[in-house]
Amino acid sequence: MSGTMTYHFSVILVTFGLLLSFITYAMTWIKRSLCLPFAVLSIGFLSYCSFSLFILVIERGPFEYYLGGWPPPIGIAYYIDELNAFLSLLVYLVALINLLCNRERFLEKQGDRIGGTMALYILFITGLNGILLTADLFNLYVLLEIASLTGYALLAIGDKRQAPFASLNYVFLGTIGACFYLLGVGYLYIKTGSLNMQDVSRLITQIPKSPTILSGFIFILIGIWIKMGLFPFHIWLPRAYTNTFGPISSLIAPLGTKVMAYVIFRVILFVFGKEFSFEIYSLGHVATLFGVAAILYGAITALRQTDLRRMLCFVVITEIGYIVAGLGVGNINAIRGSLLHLLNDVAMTFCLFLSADHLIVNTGTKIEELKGVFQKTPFGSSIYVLASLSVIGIPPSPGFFGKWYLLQGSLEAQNFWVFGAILLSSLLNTVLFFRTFEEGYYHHTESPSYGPKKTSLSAYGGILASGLLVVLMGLLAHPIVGHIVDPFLLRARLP
Amino acid sequence: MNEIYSIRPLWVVLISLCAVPLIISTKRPNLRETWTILAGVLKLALVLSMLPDVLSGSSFSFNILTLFPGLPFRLRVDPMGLIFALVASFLWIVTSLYSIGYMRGLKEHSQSRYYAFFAIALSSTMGIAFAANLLTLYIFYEILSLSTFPLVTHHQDQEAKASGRKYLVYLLGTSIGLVLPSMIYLYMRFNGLDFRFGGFVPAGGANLPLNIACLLLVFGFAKVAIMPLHSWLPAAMVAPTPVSALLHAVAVVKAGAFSVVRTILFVFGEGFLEGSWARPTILFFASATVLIGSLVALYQRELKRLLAFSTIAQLSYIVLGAAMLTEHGVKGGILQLAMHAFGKITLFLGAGAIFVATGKKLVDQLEGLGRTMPFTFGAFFVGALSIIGIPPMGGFLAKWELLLGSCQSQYMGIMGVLLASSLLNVAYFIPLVYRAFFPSFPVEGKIREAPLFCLLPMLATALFTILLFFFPYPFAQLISGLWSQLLGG
Amino acid sequence: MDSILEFIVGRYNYWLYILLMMIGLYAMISKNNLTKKIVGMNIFQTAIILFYISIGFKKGGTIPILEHTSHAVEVSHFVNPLPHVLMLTAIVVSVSTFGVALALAIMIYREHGTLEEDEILKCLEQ
Repeated sequence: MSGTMTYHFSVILVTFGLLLSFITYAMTWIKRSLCLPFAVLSIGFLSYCSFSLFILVIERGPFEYYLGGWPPPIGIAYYIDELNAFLSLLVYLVALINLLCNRERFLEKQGDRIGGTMALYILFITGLNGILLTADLFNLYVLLEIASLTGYALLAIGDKRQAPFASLNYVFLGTIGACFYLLGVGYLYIKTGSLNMQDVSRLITQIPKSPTILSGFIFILIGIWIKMGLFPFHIWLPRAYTNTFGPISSLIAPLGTKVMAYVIFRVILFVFGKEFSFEIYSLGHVATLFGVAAILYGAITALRQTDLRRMLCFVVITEIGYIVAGLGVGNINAIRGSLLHLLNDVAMTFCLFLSADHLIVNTGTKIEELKGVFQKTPFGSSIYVLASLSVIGIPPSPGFFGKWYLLQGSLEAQNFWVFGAILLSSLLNTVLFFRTFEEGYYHHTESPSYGPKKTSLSAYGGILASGLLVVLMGLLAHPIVGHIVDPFLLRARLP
Repeated sequence: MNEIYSIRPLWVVLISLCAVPLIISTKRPNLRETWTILAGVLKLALVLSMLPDVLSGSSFSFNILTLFPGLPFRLRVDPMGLIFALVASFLWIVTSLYSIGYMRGLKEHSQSRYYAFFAIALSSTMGIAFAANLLTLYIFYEILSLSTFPLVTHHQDQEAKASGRKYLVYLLGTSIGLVLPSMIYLYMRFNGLDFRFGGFVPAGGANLPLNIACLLLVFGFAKVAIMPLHSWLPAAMVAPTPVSALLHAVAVVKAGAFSVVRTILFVFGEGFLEGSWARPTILFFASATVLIGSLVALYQRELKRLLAFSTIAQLSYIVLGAAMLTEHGVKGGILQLAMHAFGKITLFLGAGAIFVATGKKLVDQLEGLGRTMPFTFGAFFVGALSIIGIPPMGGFLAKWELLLGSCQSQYMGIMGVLLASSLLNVAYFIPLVYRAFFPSFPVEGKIREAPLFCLLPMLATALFTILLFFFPYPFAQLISGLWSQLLGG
Repeated sequence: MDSILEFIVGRYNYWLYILLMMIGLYAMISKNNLTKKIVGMNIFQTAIILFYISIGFKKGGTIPILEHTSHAVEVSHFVNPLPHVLMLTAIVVSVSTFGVALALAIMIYREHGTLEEDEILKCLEQ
C-alpha cells in the first residue's frame, strides 16, 4: 500500500471501526454465526491498519492528520506519534488476542446476542483508539463517551445479580468524570476559543495565571482521574471489574484505565505544558500525594481480598498509583518510568486477567478455591505466575523496568515518599501473589484424572500469546524507551 | 589482558535451560534423566573449554541486550566466575546421578518438575557466575530464588509451606528491599554497574550513602546467610536431600557468597572499603555468624539442620576472607568457596544416603551405623575433616590461606575467630563420626549400605576433597591470575 | 456592594448552571431510588449543556447565518455557533447515557424486583 494511503489509516481506524461494528451487528440479520468471525476479521483489519501506522510513524516521525483536509483550529486534527501509535497497536492486539482466546466462552454466554456483543466490543476499542489518536479536546470527549458507554454495557454482561448494579454505579461516576472533563474543556474554550490541543497550548502560555484556566485544569484533571480509577476516585472500579464476565474484564481492565492514564500525560504535557502544570500549579505535590496514597491503598487492600479477580482490581489501582506518582515526581526518569509502566501494564494486566480467568473457570472465583490448580492446569498457571512476577517486578520482566525508572527518578528528585511506596508495594505484592501461588501449588493429589476443563487450542494459544507479549515487552524495554517513550518526552520539552 | 567476544558463556547458561522442555515432555524416566546428565556433561565440557584461555589471562564476554543506558545484560567469564562455574557444573552432574538414586529410592512424586527446576536453577547459577555487572547478577539471582522455591517445597505439605514462606520472605524481601534500592543508587551515581576488580566506587570511605549502599548489598544478598538473615537456610532443609546438597551447599548459598565477594572486591574495592565503617561492620557480623553458627550447630539434633548451621558458619569464612582485603585473605575466601562446596556436598550426600538406607534423620540415631555403612561414613568422615580443615583435605588449604590473610590484615582478632570455629567444628563433627563407628551399645542388624547411585557420587566427591589438597592446580592458578589482574590493573 | 452584586448578577448563567449541577449531584448522591439517581445524572449533564450554550451567547447577537457577504461581517452581531454545535453532540451523548442507565436499571429490576438501592445492597450481601 502506498505511503499516502497509510496516512489515512489514522482516520480509517476510527471511522471504519464505527462502521465495522455496525456491519457486525447487521450480520445478525443474515446469519448469527457469522458475527464472531466477522468481528475477528474486523479487528484483524484494524490491527493491520494500526500496525502500518505504527511502522509509518517509526519511519517518518510523528505527523498531524486533518480530518477532511480542514486545518485546525477550524477542523479536527488527529495527531499520531510513536507513543500513541504503539499504544493503539497494543489496544488492538489485546482485543484480538482476547477475542480469539475467549471465542467459545463468548458464544456460550452470549450466543443469542453475539451480534450486539461483538458490535459493542469493536465500538469500545474504536473509542479507545480515537481517544489515543485525536488532537482535539472535544473530539476526545465524544470518543471517551463512546468507549465509556460501550464499556458500561459490556461490563453489565456477567453475573446477573451483581454486574448490572455494579455497572450502573460506574455509569454514575463515569458520567460525573466525563462531565467534569467537558466542563474543563469549556473553561479552556472560554479563554482560548479553541479546541485543538496544540492551539490551546499555544494560547495558554500567553495567559498563564488566569483563574479560568486553573478551573479548567482542575476539572479536566479530576474528570480523567475519576475515569482512570485513581484513589480515592476508584470506588467504581473493583466492583465493576469483579462481577463482569471474565473475557470482558480481561479486555477492559488492562485497556480502559491505561488509555485514560495516557490522556493525563497528553493533557498535562501537551496542552498545559510542563512549566505550567508543575511550576505554576504545583501539580507535582498533588500527583505525588494521590499516587502514593493509591499505591499504598491498593497494595494493602489487595491483601484483604478473598476474591481473586477483586484482588487483581486492587493491583490495577496500585499500578495506576505508580503512573500518577511518577508523574508527580516530575523529572525525566520518573515520567519515563511512568510511561513505560503504562505501556507494560497493558500487557501485564491483560496477561494477568486472562490467565486468572482461565484459573477461575477451572476452579472458582475465591482465592481459597484455587487449591491444587497448578497441578490441574499447569500451563495456564505458569502464565499466571509469569504475569504475577512481572507485576511484582522480578527482572527481566517488563514490570521491573518501569519500576527501575520510577525508583531512579524518585531517588534523583529525593522524593523518598514515592521511592518507599514503590518498594513497599513491591514487597506487599510479593506476599499477595505468593498467597495465591501457595493455594494453587500445595495440595497435591495423585489422581491422574485431575486435569483442566476442556479448553480449546485457541484459548491456550491466546493465553500463550499474552504471556509472550509480556516477555517481549520485557526484553524490548530498552528499545521501547529509546524509540517510543523518549521522543514523546523530547517533544514535551522535558530535558 | 585480552577479551574474547564469544557466545560460549551464553551457551553455558542456556544449555540446562534448553534441557527443560526435553525433561518436561519426556514421559520415560530413564530418558528424562539421560537428558539431565547429558546437559550437565555438556555444560561442564563447555566450562572446561574456556579454562585454558582464562588461565592464560584472557576473558570471554558476550552482550545479550541493553537493559538501561550504559547498563547491558552482559556475561563475562573471569577467573573468579570460572571457579564458581566449574564447581557448580561439576557438582551438578554428581548430584544428578545422586538424585536418580535418591528420588527413585524414595519414590518421590513430580520428578519431572524436580529435574526441570533443578536445570533452571543451574542455569541461573551459571548466570550469576558469569554476570558482568551487578544488574545481570541480580537478574540471575532472582531467577535462582524463584526456581529453587518449588525444589525447597517439593513435598508440598504443611512443613514445606511454612519453610517455603520463610525462604521467599527472606530471599525476595532482601533482594527487593535492600539490593534493588542500593543498586539503583549506585547506578544513578556512577552511570554503570560493571564489575571491575578493585571496584568502580572511588576511594574515600567516609561517604555515608555509599557505606549504607555497601551494607545494603552485603546483607541484601541474603543467600550468604549472614546473621541475622540466616534462618531461611535451616528452614530450607525440608527439601529432598539432593536439593539441600546442591543448593544449600553449593549453588544457592555459594551464589550468595559469590555475590558478596563480587560486591566487596568488584564494586567497592579496597580503595573505598579501607577507610569505611562498612567494612568493620561486615567483619563483625561475619565473625559473629561464624562463632554463633558453629555454637548453634553443636546443639542440633537433626543431622541436616546441623549441617545447615555449619554451612552458615562456613559461608561467613568467605565473607571474612574477602573483607580482609589482603592477598591471602581473598585467596582463602575464594578457595573456601570451592573447597567448602566439595566437603559440604559430601556431608549432605552422606546424610541423604543414611536417610535413604535407614530413614534416620537425627544425630542420636546414627550410633553404630558406621559399622554397617562403612563407605557412607567413610566419605562423611572425609567431608567432616575437610570442613574442620585438617590436612590432607582440601578444606585445609582454604583455612591456611585465611589464617595467613588474617595475619596480614590489621584485624588479628579474625584469626582467633577462625581457630575457635575450627575447634567448634571438631566438637560437633568428631563425636558424631566416632559414635557411628564405636557405638556405646550393640546395634541390631538389618541395615544395609545405601544404594549404589547414592554411594558412588558421594565417594567421588570425597575423593575429590582429598585430591584437591594435592592438586589444587586449576583453582589456585585461577586465583593467582585474579590477583595478578589487580596488581597489573 | 455594587461590585459583589455585579459579580453575582453579571454571571447569573454560571450560578444557574452550578445550581443545576449541584441539584443533579445531590440527587445522585443522596437519593435511594435508582431512577431518581438517573434523573439526577441527567440534570447534571444538562447543566453542562446549558453552561456551554450560555458561553456562546452574545447580547444582541443573532443566529450566525450570513445572507449577504458583500459587506464586512461584524463578529459581535452573531452568537458563537461552535459551542451550540458541540452541544448537539453532547445531547446525543447524554441521551445515550440516559438510555444505557435505564437499560441497566431494567436489568436490575428484573433481577431484584426493586430499584431501591438499600434493598438491592441487602439482597447482594446475602
